[in-house]
Amino acid sequence: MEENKKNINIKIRKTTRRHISDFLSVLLSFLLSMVLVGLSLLMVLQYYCFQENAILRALSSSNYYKNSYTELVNRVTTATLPTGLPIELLQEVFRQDELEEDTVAYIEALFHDKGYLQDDVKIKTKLKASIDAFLDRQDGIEGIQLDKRINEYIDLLLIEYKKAVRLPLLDYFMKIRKEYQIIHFLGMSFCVSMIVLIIIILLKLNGWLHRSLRYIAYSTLASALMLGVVPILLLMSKSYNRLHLSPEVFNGFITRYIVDIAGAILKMSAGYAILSIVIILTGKGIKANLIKFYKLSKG
Amino acid sequence: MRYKLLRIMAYFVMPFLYMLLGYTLIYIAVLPAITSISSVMKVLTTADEPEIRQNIKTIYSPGEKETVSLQKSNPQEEVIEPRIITPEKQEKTPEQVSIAELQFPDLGMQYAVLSCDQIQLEVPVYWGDSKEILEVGVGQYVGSFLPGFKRSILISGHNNSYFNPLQFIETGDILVCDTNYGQYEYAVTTVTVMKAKDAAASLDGMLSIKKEKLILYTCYPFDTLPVNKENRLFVFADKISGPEVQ
Repeated sequence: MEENKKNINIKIRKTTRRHISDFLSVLLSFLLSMVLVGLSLLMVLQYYCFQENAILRALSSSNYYKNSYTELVNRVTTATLPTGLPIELLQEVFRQDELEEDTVAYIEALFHDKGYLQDDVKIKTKLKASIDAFLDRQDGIEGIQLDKRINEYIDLLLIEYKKAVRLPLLDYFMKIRKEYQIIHFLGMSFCVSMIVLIIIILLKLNGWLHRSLRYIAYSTLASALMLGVVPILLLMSKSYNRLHLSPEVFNGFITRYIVDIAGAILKMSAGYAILSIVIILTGKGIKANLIKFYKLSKG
Repeated sequence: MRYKLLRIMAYFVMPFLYMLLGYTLIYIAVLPAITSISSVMKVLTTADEPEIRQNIKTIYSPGEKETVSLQKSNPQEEVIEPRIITPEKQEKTPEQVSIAELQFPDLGMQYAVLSCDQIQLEVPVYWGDSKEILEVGVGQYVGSFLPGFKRSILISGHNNSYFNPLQFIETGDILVCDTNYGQYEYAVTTVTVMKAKDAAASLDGMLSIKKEKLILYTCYPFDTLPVNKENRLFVFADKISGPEVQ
């Protein structure tokens, strides 16, 4: 009788301990999923968003250079029309491939923390040569006043070219990128330590490895869901098309950039889904081996 | 079996519950900032997809035109009279047009075509004279009047693009303004160069004229880089035909 009572008490204690450990495991598993999501977002920011290649890729795929060149041509035409000079003078002066090269050089200079110095001499020389050739064909129009106007006009066109080369808001983006490095270091350190700690506690709490792996699988699956839902909704609804930024070419680039970032997060989500499958299968394998070993040892 | 099914269901239910709980916690965490974030988003987004490239619109619908190649009048050569046939317009061009029938153009809309066969001029006329409009045609000052209102019509254009042919215009040439509600003809009475700051060249002066006058103006001289942009070429033309707006 007393032995029965003892056995029942032991069972109750074991069951209570088991429930507590399950509850704690669920909590830790949830915490692990949140930490994994945070870690993933930090990694996407550092290794995708703030990378030079991401910017250059978005610029290419949104036809930014072509549109920027068209805008530049419109602006220099507007500046030229009232002067009386023919638009044909500008034909060989501003070229799309040169604009693209200068824009890429500007972005690279910023990313590598070098000052960007635009080479104005080439454009100035070409413009001056075109205008002088045109004026030579007219009746002699000379004078200091005319030289002054020509220089003012050339300076105006150079300002328009500079505006076309410099990607809007890139300076602010680089400042944010610089500030983010500290956040990234601290964030990553915290997330990695938390992940290690939680996994160790889960292993200790559950005793059996396959049970711990079960909770880790819940976390990775939850991370996959949390990371995947927002980009999927964004890409399906295409609400990024309602963005209205100025200038128009910049709007196209930002839209493309947002789509690329959503794609990167989706890839992370898919990675977690695959990891979850691996963990689940590993857990099953371990459990199967344990059962096999138990059966062998019994009989 | 039931136990196995529960285990499998747990792989769906638990992550889903974690996701709901996670988003709830994130929502609670950012709640204080949601108002500011949504105000910023309202500024940066539109209710529908914006029309990124809004082309300049037109309400001008030309009729059938038969144009004949022309040259400046030369006693030695045979003069070919300009003929512009607009069959639909001929039916719809009475001596009077009701104001209720008029479709007033919005800013930036093309509403007419201005032509002069003697100088090979044929340009679209837009309502408004912003720099964007002057890149694609000639623009009417919005403080002036539409053809048919018995008041001044002020139209400007760049001298090295659409109004470049004005350098050849002479008194007696016929300017035709083809609108959606009628065709108007004006005979050039005066071609003069004035300084932009002259009183006679002021808008007030032009708009105070009490009869229908078509006034074209552009920078002067043509085809050179002027040292200063003070001078304007003015072309004044009196109405000779076209419906009155009642």
